[in-house]
Amino acid sequence: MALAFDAASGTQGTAVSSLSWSHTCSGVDRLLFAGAGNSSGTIATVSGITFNSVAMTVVFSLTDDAPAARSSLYRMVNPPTGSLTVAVTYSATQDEVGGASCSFTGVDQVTPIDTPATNFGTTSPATVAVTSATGDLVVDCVYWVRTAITVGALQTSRQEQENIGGFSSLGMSTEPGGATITMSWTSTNARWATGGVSINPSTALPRLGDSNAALT
Amino acid sequence: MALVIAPIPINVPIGRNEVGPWNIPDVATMITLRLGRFTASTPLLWTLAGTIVNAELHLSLDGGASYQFFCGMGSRGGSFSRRDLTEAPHSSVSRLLPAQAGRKAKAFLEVTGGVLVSSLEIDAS
Repeated sequence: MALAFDAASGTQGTAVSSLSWSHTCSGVDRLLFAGAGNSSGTIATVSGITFNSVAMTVVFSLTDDAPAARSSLYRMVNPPTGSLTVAVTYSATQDEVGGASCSFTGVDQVTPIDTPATNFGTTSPATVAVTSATGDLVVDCVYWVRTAITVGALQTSRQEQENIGGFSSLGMSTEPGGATITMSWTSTNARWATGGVSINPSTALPRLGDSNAALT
Repeated sequence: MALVIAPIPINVPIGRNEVGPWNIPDVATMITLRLGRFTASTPLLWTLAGTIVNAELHLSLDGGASYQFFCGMGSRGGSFSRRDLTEAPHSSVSRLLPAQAGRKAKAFLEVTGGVLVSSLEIDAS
């Protein structure tokens, strides 16, 4: 089965210490990502993200060097299907928070992702160079202290939470893999934190009857 | 025309409390729930940090026959100073709505640590 995007969802809040939303996974060889962004006078850490009350695994979580913004990405292999709850908990109440989730099918269930890459800065575009491979799919999560963001030309925006509390934006997107994929978002200059990772396709052996099965 | 439930006073006991439902106008694209917080100008609202609220919005796409969890937020009470040192007047959660006619929403307020005296505002526009 080919690696493919399944579904995306998300939400946003102000003056909260936790945020939750529903997400529906379907298909086979599933992988779920949950992206979280937060900004405040004092930046909190992400205490954890759960899906259906089960802890997800951190892919990356970083702030810019002020710090003014945090971007985090968590994952879960083989998440349950159906409409279930993604829940993000922070270590303290935050001025603004954004949450997004993206699920995929046809993902390698043993080695679902490669090594993530992260970056932060203060000028547009926000970029991160992700090591990938042809046939993979790269996913990113950016958090920017600006009210509107624009996805890079070669990417597909999967979820945008803009104008969070009149201050910030969260975005998740994908781009087909290659040797090195630079994920980018644009806005006006301000602090941002971003990261990305390459998703590996499932490696199921071809079955007799598959049109592309090779018998030797 | 938008649905705006102007801040209504609520006095909610400890436990899980249901509020609503409300009809969502077909034109609405986003729904927001706001709970009024303690500030110098609203000293009677959600005063205690020990009062913890998890607020959920549930959405019906079948005219109210069934509801599913849609989005939620949680926070402690008391004053919360934002980065500009002003006090946050409310805690809120917002989510884009799926396009469909006949939508309805209701809220659940899970309260621990003390009675919640606050104001509830629903904005679907």
